[in-house]
Amino acid sequence: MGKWISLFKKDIMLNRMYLLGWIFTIIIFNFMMYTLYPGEKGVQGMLGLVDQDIFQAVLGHLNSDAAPVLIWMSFVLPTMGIVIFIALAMYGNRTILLEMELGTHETLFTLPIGRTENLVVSFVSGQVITTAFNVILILPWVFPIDGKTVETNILINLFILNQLFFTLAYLFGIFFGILGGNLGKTQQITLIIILLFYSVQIIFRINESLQDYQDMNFIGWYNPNVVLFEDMLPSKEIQYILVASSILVLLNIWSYTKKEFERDMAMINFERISSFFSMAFQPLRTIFESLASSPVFRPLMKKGKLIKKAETNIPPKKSRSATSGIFVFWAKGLRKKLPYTADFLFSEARVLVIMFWVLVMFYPLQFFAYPGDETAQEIISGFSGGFANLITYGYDLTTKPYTWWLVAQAIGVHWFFMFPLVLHWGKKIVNYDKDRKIGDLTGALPISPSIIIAQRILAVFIELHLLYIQMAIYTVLSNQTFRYNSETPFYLAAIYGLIPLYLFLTLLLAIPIHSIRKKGVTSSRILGVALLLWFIVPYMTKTSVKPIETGLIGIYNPVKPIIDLSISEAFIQIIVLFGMTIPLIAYLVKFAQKMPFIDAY
Amino acid sequence: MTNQVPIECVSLTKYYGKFRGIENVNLKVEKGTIHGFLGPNGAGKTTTIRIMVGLLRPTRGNATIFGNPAGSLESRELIGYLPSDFELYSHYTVGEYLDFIEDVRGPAPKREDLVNLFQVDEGRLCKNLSRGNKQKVGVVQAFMHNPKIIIADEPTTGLDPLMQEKFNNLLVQYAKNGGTVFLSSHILAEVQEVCSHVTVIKEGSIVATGKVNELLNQVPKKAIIKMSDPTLKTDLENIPIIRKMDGEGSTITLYYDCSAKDFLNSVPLEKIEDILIPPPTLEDYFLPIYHSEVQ
Repeated sequence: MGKWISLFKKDIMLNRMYLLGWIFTIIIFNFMMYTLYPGEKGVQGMLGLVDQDIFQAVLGHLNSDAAPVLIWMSFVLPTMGIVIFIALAMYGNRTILLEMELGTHETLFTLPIGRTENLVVSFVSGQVITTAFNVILILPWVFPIDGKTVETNILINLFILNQLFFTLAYLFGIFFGILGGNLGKTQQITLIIILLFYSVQIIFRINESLQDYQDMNFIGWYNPNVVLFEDMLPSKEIQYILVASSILVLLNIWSYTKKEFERDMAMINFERISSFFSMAFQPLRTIFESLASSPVFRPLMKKGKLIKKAETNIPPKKSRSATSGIFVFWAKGLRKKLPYTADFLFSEARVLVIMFWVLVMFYPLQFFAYPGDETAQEIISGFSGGFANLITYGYDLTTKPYTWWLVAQAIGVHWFFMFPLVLHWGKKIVNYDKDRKIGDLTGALPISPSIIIAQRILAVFIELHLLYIQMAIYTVLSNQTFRYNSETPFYLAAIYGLIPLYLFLTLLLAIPIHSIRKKGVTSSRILGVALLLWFIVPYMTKTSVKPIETGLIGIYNPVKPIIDLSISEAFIQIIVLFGMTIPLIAYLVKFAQKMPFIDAY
Repeated sequence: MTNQVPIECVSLTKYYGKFRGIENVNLKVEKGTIHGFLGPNGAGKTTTIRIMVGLLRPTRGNATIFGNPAGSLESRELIGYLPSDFELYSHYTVGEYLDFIEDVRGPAPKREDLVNLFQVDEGRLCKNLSRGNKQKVGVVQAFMHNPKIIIADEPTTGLDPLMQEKFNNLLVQYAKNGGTVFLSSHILAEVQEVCSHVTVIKEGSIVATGKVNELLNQVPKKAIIKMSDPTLKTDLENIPIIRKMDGEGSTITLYYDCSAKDFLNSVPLEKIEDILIPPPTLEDYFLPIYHSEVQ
């Protein structure tokens, strides 16, 4: 028994940061959805919107006669169910592969523990985590919302459905973990498969002739709307989940006994599968490459010797590295003059792919779902309270539905997706060498640490522009589609402020990491969260907020230039924010001279 | 199914896809011996060891630990393993880590002695340990439950000379008490010092195996001679026991096939200013194998 408890504790401790991150995310999301409840009128307004096929496809069939709270829950649960499914599937991957990533497997798997025994202990820890996620997801709805409570029976049924579906996710993740060899690649494949099935579910819901095949899709087995609107468990789907889970249990036990515990040694060659999926990016790559070699761009690039160097100096490679990533391959041209900028960009290849998809979720998917002024106005009328105030920067945009839509769905919630990125960059600019255990090598090179830091700051600046270009393209396309072309320059100017803002925040958060020998990363995270709360809390708690009350993040206000149709307003914000970054760059570059690059922070 | 052969490999073969790991490795490790496993980088040492401890499965053939299939629960109960890249859980202190191993494996009667011997600080966080200190913890965890076999992959990597000496003494003592050691190493002098048996692997196949003394007997004996008369070289060419001569100028190395006494009786000592007859080393045996790989 003591052996099992030790293994259980070890499993939880190894994954504690991953699990805490997800728990925190679920709590924040739930809190947002709970506080954002628009009331009966708002929900009815939203029902008009969800008449569109695309919404029906994402949310499933809704019952407009049901209690508004239940309808609101049906907007939340299908999405959160999939998000938690992904989190737990990846946790399943980690259960099998994390030890190999850390190198601790060499000792653990030579100890006298049976493989099935080990798997059972992992499954128990997985069940504890699954239950914790489930409780956190359900808990807010136990409390009255707008004076009304959700029936206990419905909550219990939701809990049961969630528990079964999330357990399936964990088993699914374990299965792919056993087949895989490298944690990063396996998680990518797992994510792609889940998103693929999720997309198939949406497509099948739109196309009625494909409805019959829906039962074959495991994502479709999660149907909380039956629980919410019919007050019963979806028995057919539950049977599917139980059968699939049982099969996965057997498959997992069988395949785990065949598994070889060697880092990067997969039972199935995921490399081939992932190259199949990477073909999805091929058209984009072809466009970039043909643009680069086109008569327009080629002379410009040749002038800067970008193409020439890329063509002559880089030997042919047998295997693909991060340097050929879709968003960073062009950085090869920077390697001679700005090697640390290029290296930083190459190391960000995966981050940029993730951000590409995040922006797709926030920008084009939201923009092109714009239901027209009339329906949008109905929906907007339902939204009030702190969160609505926050995402519109306290402006009353009810008479400008299109602006409200773009601001509330994408531009105004930039902090939601950009903030994790600045925490990541702030740490990476300073700790890159230490984290990769190459500090001794970097420190011994005859290059000033100031140059290294300056080049990494430049890389972040370039990355911010890459993200901006995407946002700009989506905004222009949206404005063209909905005929708001004349306002486009103001939108673009307003969004450009994101670049100096997040460059400034990145550098600000890098300073504690650089200056405080121990706990620098923690201090910078605390500072970051404090700045974010300083910005969020006034909007959430007050109806009228002065810009000064929202702290450093509040210096940037994208709504004002859009509302005032004022380029100069955007220009002033940009100049102020860039002005603020200069002393920070000077600080980091000057004091980088003392940076030891090794484990001193 | 148990027998008295601590480790036995029969036609052990491992392929990684199309790539050869090891091929037809046959090996027997005797009880109470320290068996060295030598080979150049990529020869297949770690692959063989990982099959023995159950981390990898052979493509063909089999390995057994006291008759139990390698990787079985019974075999793992008998083994203490020290990997080449020993890693610890960063969230534990050293003491907590050793507690964890003890919880999983069972009582560890030698723990305290080993902790004292290697001056391991149980209160330190694992993530703050240097390479050498991690290796010391690795040694403690491998030996502390007093296993019947120790399998160690380059065990002295990162240890300072003092700790290396302590480790070697520990191995010798352990073997004297009936334990069996199978270790891979690049430090030939260390293998020669502590090992009674040695196996050499190259390009995935065993090229030599036996007692260290027997292997050393196969090494051509040599003498380093400083000549006082340049005509000595011509004289030596006519002596049949001398197989080969190396070197330019007044100092030359001679390789011969007889006892040192016969050698000294055969050469014209009056033409020699100084003579050195070094004992044969594993380096003399092993380096030609290395060189043939380079060629």
